[in-house]
Amino acid sequence: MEPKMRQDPSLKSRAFRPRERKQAATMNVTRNVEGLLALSQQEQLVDMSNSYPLSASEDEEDSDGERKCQKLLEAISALGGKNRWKLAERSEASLKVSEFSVSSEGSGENLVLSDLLGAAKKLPLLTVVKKQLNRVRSKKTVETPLNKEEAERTLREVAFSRASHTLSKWDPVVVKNRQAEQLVFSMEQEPSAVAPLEHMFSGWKARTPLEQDVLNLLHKNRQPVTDPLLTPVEKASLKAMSLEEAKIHRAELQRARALQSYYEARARREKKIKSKKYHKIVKKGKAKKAQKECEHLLKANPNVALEEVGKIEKARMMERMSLKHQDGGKWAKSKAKMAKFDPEARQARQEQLAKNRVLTQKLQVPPESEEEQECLAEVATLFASEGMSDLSDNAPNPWMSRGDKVQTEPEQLPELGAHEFSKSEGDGRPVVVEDILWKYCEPREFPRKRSELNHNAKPVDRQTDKDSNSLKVLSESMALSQKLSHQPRKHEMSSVGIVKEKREKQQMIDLQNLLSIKTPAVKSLAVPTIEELEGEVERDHRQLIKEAFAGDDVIRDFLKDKREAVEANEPNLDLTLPGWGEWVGAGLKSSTKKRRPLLKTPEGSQRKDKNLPNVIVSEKRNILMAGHQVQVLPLPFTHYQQFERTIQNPVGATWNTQRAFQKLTIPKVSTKPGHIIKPIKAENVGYRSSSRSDLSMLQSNPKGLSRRDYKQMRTCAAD
Amino acid sequence: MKVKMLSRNPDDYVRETKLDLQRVPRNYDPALHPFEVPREYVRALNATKLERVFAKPFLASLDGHRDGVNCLAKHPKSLSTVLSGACDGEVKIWNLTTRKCTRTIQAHEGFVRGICTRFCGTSFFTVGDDKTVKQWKMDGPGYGEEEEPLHTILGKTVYTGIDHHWKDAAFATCGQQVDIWDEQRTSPVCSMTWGFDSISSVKFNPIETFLLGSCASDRNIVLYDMRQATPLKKVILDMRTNTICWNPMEAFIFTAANEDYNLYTFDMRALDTPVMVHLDHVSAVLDVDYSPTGKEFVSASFDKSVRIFPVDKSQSREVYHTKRMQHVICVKWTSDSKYIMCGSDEMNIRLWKANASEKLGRDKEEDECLQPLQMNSRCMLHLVHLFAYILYILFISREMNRRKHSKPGSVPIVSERKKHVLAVVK
Repeated sequence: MEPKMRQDPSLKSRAFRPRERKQAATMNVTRNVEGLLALSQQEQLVDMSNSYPLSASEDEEDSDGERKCQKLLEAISALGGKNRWKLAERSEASLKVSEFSVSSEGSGENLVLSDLLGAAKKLPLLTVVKKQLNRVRSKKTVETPLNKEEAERTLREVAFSRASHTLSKWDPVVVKNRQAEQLVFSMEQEPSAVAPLEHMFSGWKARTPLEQDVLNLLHKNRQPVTDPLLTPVEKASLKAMSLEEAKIHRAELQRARALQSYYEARARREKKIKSKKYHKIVKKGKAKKAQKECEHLLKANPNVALEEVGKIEKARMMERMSLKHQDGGKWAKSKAKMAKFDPEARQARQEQLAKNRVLTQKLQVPPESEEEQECLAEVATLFASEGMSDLSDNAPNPWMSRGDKVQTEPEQLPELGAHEFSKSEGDGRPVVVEDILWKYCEPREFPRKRSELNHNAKPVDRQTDKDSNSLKVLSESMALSQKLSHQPRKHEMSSVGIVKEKREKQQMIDLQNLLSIKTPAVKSLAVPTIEELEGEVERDHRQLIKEAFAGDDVIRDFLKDKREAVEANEPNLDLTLPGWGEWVGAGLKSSTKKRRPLLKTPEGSQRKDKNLPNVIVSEKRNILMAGHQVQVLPLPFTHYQQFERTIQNPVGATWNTQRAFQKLTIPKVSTKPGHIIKPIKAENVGYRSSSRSDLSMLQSNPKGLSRRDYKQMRTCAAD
Repeated sequence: MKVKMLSRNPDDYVRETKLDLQRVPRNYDPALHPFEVPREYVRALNATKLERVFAKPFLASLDGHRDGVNCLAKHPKSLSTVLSGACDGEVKIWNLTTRKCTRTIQAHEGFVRGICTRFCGTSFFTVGDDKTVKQWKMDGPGYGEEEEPLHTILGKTVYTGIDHHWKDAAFATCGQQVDIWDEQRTSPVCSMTWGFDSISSVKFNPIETFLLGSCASDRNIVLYDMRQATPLKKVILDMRTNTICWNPMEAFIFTAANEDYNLYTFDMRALDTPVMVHLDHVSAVLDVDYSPTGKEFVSASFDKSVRIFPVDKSQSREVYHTKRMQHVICVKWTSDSKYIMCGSDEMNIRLWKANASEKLGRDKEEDECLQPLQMNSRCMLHLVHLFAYILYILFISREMNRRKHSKPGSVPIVSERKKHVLAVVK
């Protein structure tokens, strides 16, 4: 309080009006509430100024007389002349001080704000200030700051918790790296930036005598030293023709030369060729040409053309008969194997397949003109007039005769037939009909596949044909075949019944007879002979073994061994040592009392091989083996079974494929020689690293603590 | 006459491309390859033995210093460049491919206490007994120029160590306190102390670059935060720690080389127990450096040997020593993780392979194939450092004996990890 009191007189001397003061005070208060001390000081000043007029009246009563007295004394002394203005002098410490300095009257008691306020109560203008003061009074005072040691300690703690928080973000990365199967350290390779030559030369100067000599030489010959790097002559030559033009020109020339040489080479080559294949190709080309010519002829001169066509047709038939083009031959198979690797083989195969396709194709479109229909009718009548057997004999296609054979076994086939018909249903019935028609037109040309597919239907058709002799019959057969496709079995049965009952039955019987004859023959002959043979062989074998091991009885040896092993393990031994504890000599017997006890096997222990007659299980601990056995379970394993299982799985290349072997023997850490491995970076792992450098953070924030940290510190200190 | 010929399907023996391996038909039927476990075991055993037989780790020795080599530094950008500082104040720059010294600088009077390179590789810093910090250009002076440092800072006290920040233009020195310097200024940006010590080494964390670790002669290791300019925590061990090294792959792990023959790997966040105590040295450990893969570290010891420890093992994987190598003062693992360099008292820098039996060059693949087999066999204790194991057993039995013959409870069982940490100061 005292220092503030000391200011009062000066305030007095300044003529502050109370209201102005008050306004100033309120402004101050509103401006900085938190400047607590300053504020309270101001308020006290206000108090003083306000209370001054009141308190002055009381003061003056006793101090007036004194002052007058002093003035008088001064005046008297001034009369003397020398010391007109003698300053007041304080010679001893006193409680009383003059009006210009501080009066410490009543120093024992402090001046309290409330005392001063009590006086101000009467003034209505001060209510605002009073409110503020009350608010201030309700606040606590600031605590004393911590001592330096304590403050530093809390600072450290806060900083440490902060640092460990930032470090904890690395936990997942570290765990991942530790558990990784393989760590590869050949990741980013920075591309080596090549600085341009000019940059390198910019700061360079010739220093050594040698360098200077070289430079002089270059200057003499007008070689550019730094930037252009080309002599004027070189520049001129570059200007003569632009690069693009030159390139185009050169390309043209090249092309012309290449073409020329190509044609020349081709001509030369064709002259020389002896290869069969080549000639084949040439032949083919010629054939194509011929075909075209033929077409021309057909338009111009049909008769000649027909002859030509006949020739071609004949050639085709020959080819078709030869079966050369089939895919199943040895040659074809070998080519199929080689086709993957040998383009020639591939081509040959393709050619063959193409040929096959051509040959097995249906030849012409179905007959539409009247002429052709007539032809068809003729054929039909021909077939009708001749017998079934004749037909089969006459037919040049061997497959055609198969139909009869098939028909002879109707019991076996119907299911098959049904199956196949159901297959062919997808294509639609018209196909079947077509086939039937075509068969009579050109039995030879009938595609084999189809014939196989429909070979059940064919004979039936043929039989029905027998009665008929016109296209009408054919139409009937069409209807029949339709029925057949619906219920093949029934149809067949009926057809058989109607047309050729007798023959059919006879054949069936024959077939049965055949079967009945065959089966006993097999049984009676083959089986017993084989058994007899086997028995003989086995006996011989045994005999041989017996003779070979005539001398040794393995089983007895084994039993003996086992007995020995068992006995060796059972220490039922008499441990008497003659001469120990008694007399020895001829005719003396050791007493039974003094005889040492026998060593007996503990009853609980049983041999593992007790119930296994054919096995000896040795229960001795093999010391030599023990050295190779694992004493302690290695670290990543928690149970010995896990470890055993991993050990059981071989990792070597003998037991694993190359890929698996490589995978199993992958090294834990792979590094590249010559590659600098840098410390792990936050950016590389996907974290954000702070944009500000550590140094700048240090310089900008020497204390390095944010408000949040201060808060944390305070809580720490409170704890 | 019909000739029967063998014809094989080319699918079985023809390669699709030239780059494919030649196909060798093999039958992997397990019935044809019996006894897989014993055979593999024998193979593994042989591989391990052969590994020992072919272990020729020593590559070269770089001689030229006229006093003991006190400190080593790697070049951050060039694998073939190494810097070394000697006890007579000489700094040499070596080319490892030619194994020759390319440059010699008389840098200080008295010891060169510390040397470090700038992260960009253009310059390096040295501190010496003459109370100076000097910055040098990595390239030699031009023709006719004097060999002079770029900057020289004269300090008030002796600096005993220096390390450069991994990203910023700042470096840290240690002596009576840890100072952090801006490269552009001649006075430290901030100084950090915690009590009065002589600090022997200071190292920046390579990952979280604002962290530093230092070790002082009153047996403590102190961690600092550079951003907040404050120490973080202090751990006091049994004996003095000579130097520490941070793991370059795991931000919070560091290893301390201690005078009590051991190395301690700490997790920075839990200093009260080390993660692992590495035991094999038989004298004070003077220096330690991590492999850049972060899986192993190498330590140099007063017992004239260099040892390689896996981070998670307490026993060393390898020990390198030669007849002529004296107390090894400094050691570094090259940044391609293939080589190790060590500088020793008898003025030589030695270059070793990090994997003793590794073939450097062509036959590498074969070598890699053997590795897991060896790993399998390593599980067998009789192959793993039998001698160390026996010592360990003896040690344990000694303690057991003492416990057995003293008052029950008076010799408590304390785990190895807890034994050596005296206190952690917040």
